Amino acid sequence: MNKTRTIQVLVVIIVLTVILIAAMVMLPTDQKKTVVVYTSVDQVYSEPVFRDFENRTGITVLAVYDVEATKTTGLVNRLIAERNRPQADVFWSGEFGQTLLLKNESILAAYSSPSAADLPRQFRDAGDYWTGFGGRARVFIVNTDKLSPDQYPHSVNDMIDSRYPGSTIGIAYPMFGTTATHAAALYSYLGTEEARNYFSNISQRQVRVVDGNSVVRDLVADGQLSFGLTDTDDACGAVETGKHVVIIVPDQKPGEIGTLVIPNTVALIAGAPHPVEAKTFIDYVLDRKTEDSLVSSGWIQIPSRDVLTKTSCMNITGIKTMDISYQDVYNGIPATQKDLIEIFIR
Amino acid sequence: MIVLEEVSKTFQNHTAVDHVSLEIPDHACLALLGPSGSGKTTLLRLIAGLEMPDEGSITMSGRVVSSPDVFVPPSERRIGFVFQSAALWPHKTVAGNILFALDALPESEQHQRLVPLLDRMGITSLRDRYPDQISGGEARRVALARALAPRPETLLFDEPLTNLDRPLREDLLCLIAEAVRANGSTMLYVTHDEYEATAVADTTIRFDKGRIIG
Amino acid sequence: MAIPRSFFHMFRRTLSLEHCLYALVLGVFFLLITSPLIGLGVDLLYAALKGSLDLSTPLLLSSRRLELLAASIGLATAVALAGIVTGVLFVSLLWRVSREILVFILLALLALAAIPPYIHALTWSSLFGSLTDFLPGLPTTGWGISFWVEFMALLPLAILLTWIAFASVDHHLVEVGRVFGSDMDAFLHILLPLSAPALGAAFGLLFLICCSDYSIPSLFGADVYALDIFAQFSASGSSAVASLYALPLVLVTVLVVIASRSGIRTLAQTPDWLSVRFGTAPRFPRFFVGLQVIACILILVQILVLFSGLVFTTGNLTTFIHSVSVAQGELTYSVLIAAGVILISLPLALAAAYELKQPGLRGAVAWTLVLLPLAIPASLTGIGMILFWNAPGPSMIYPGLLMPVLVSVARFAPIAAILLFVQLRFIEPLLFDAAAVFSPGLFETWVQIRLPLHAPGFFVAAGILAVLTLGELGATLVVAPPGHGTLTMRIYNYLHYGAAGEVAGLCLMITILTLIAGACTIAVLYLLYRGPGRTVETGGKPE
Repeated sequence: MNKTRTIQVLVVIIVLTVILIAAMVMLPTDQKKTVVVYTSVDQVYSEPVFRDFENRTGITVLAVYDVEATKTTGLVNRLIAERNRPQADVFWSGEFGQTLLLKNESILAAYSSPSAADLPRQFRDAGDYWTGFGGRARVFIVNTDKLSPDQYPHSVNDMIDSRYPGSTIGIAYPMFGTTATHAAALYSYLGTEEARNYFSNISQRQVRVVDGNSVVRDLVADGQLSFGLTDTDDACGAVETGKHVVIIVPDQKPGEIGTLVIPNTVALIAGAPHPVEAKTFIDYVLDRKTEDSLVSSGWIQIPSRDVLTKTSCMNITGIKTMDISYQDVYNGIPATQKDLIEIFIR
Repeated sequence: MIVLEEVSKTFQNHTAVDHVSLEIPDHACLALLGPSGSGKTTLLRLIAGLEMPDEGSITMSGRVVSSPDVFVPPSERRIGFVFQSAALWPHKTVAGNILFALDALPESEQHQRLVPLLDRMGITSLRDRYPDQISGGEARRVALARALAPRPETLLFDEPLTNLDRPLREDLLCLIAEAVRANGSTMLYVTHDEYEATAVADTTIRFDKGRIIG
Repeated sequence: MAIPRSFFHMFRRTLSLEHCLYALVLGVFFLLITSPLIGLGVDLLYAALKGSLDLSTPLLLSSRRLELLAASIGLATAVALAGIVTGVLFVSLLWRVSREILVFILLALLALAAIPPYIHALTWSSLFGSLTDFLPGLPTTGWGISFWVEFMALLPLAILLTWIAFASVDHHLVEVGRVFGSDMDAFLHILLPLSAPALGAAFGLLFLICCSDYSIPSLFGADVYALDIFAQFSASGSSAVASLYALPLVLVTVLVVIASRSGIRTLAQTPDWLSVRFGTAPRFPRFFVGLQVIACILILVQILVLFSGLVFTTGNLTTFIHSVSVAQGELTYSVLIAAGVILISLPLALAAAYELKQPGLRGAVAWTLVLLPLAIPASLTGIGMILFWNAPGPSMIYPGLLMPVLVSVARFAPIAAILLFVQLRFIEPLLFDAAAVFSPGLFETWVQIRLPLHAPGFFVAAGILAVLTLGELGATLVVAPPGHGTLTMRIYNYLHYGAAGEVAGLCLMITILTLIAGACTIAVLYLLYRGPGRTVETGGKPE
């Protein structure tokens, strides 16, 4: 190769590298207003909300999403790692445990949104550090080819019932995500001893413990499992795509504990770079119309208020919910997780 | 003139060159003869500037080029070097290998020097070939052409005819002797072969265990 | 006391332009790859000084954690070993193929290696699920299945690394063996022992990747130590605690990589990794040919299951086009990140490769600094990057578009340095000496001699960097700037949502991208350094 050509190629490569690095170092110099939202809500559901907010307010949403495969360690630990120089404005979660953790770590700032005025009291933090709205319930997804209606499970205790072989039942790792929250709720409701026995039983029966709620859904829909414990949004996804499944809300009979309903939570980050835009976004997310759109899109199945759209994939009328305090559940999470790590990771 | 004064070089407790003093007059053709492992290649590399002496100094044309305090890079010593395995760059053609040694000159002068040199070495037809497309003997001719191209004051040869058959060695020895005479350079030729030493050089110095022994 | 003149002269020589540039580039390399460690270390120290760290639990291994660690080591060893053995059998078939077929196969392997392991897992999970209809007793969970799927996922990379190991051996040495003994003897007693150090290094890398992966085993119900680390991370919310929990695994992986490193340093010389090899085809005994056939079948099965799964799940061209068009932003950003990682890593890794050559304490320190980042789990690397770059000093970098590039540089530039070190040992030192003698200047020497001689190593390192970067999730997720995501992040998001068609379409996109990038690089290298007018190679005429 001749010298001139070598030099020309090298110059081109060096110039391109410098341009590439310079482009990446400089943040967008857009003059538009922005709000940075860290969210564990699935991108498929949250993205339309962000686009609608942008259209209505002219404020650009820069989102950071979480991914189930990283067990939610990514997002929350990122917020904690950034505490000295926060980059996020708003944290929008599909559950409450991580939000309470962030409050405990002093990552959140208090904000009482006017849009929350018509929300039930239990959905609002006493200090206004977070606000909950519309949620999902913990449910069974049942493969109708594997089980006949008289065989359908009706209680979480059916997961340790010898009628159902352990290998035909599925649950996500109870140390992560909404399953962890559900486990903590059971510990809180049943007491440590009984809950520990329950989960030990699940482990000993070799119930199939998998990577996430969506995996439970897929394995049940595929017919590899007869039933599994998952969230309503995952279960409804399978129903709406025509899989041979049905959704059962567990523990609805008189005297039974009811099911856990996990609300969305939204919170302002302490030291947010764009506090004004952050509050505007929080107001928007907490608005009744947004909750309605999230019911319509399939993210929320248990609205916290009367909304126009009705959940189509399951009957939510008169759902019996677990009578627990979110704070108590959260307080129990660390000890619960340590217990469950010992039980399930071995 | 090349002057070595008490030059020593040690590699990990092994003394390869042991307090060697030597004067090589201008235009001299000197062979350095010794068995394998005697340190003659190390001495050559010290003169070339490919190794640094631990003690002593090397002077070329009245200028100190190597000492523990001074170091002039090989490219500034006006030397040509023919390595043991030719050491042709595999990604450059025959012409490219030679032209690299002339890179400091204007392009027109580079080609003015290249054409007759290729002709003299009998490798004009190989100019666009790559090193893995030519034979070992042809590679040695290219290496010699590359060493001669910048018209160096000093030519250094490190066992350049290793692994070649006798007729080829004879051919190349003649070529080397002729080229050195024509160029008027000082020559230092390292070999373990007595015949080569006498065929190409006027004076032979024997070297063993890091010292001049005769 | 008078300072010796030699000190000043040594000091002045050290301050030469070449030395200063070398030191600068090396400094940048070590800073970038150790920045996560520095961030985590400072955080750990701070937590310890605050008294908020209970050291006993993470550092005292309970029997449960010991069993987990042993199981993880066992799985990783088995997967790495199976990968190397299959690679050896398959690559022994490539011994005599032409350069064109060899390049095609290598490109295909590179493209397959770019597909995230989790996708392999899901494809196999679906297949097993379907097979249970016909074979009810077929296990769909457990260590056996986890081993199989992990092995399938890492098989393309294992073959690539095995090929590098075999290509490192001077084929003349093998040919000599064929003169004096059977081809099987030459293979077993010459080729294998000579390539053993490089195979050891390949084993180390596969072991490392497998040890830090929990996504595949957890899908099939096999719990590994890496999962325990993340469970602790999730439970504690503390990177300091997670770092302590990760220590035993880090120590094990560092030991394995150090053992592999001593093998790297004794590699044989070779002229050219893509050199054409001539001569008669080797004649192996039937049992060995049978084993080679089995290896080929395994690879075919891997390709078939993966591609049929992807193609059928994609369904039709419309889904493919839709998935690609929706992910345009992520596609562009992923390609830019990969390009950025390659452009930044290669020059830095080259300087590090020279440093790895240094003897004594200097080389030992360099190796330690290069190997440590390889042992840190991805998420912790990401958190460490935030802790380092979000500090007041370097804050203009975080959370910018450059962060995912820097995190992949931190994770994978050490691998590039090791690859370039290996390649450095294959370049005849006399070629550099000749350049020193005839050099018209530092710039010309680098541009015309040194860089072209390094070109094959650059190509291999660039390919492996691209593959690893495209599939990287754990660390990238943590540092991706708001409003931007990578292709892998979108794939995993779709996975959760259940958009299997879109997932398959995007995975096919990654494969196509890798193939195009690899083909372009080969074409560019060929045009630049060999030219279209080159005559047919003869492999050297005999004397």
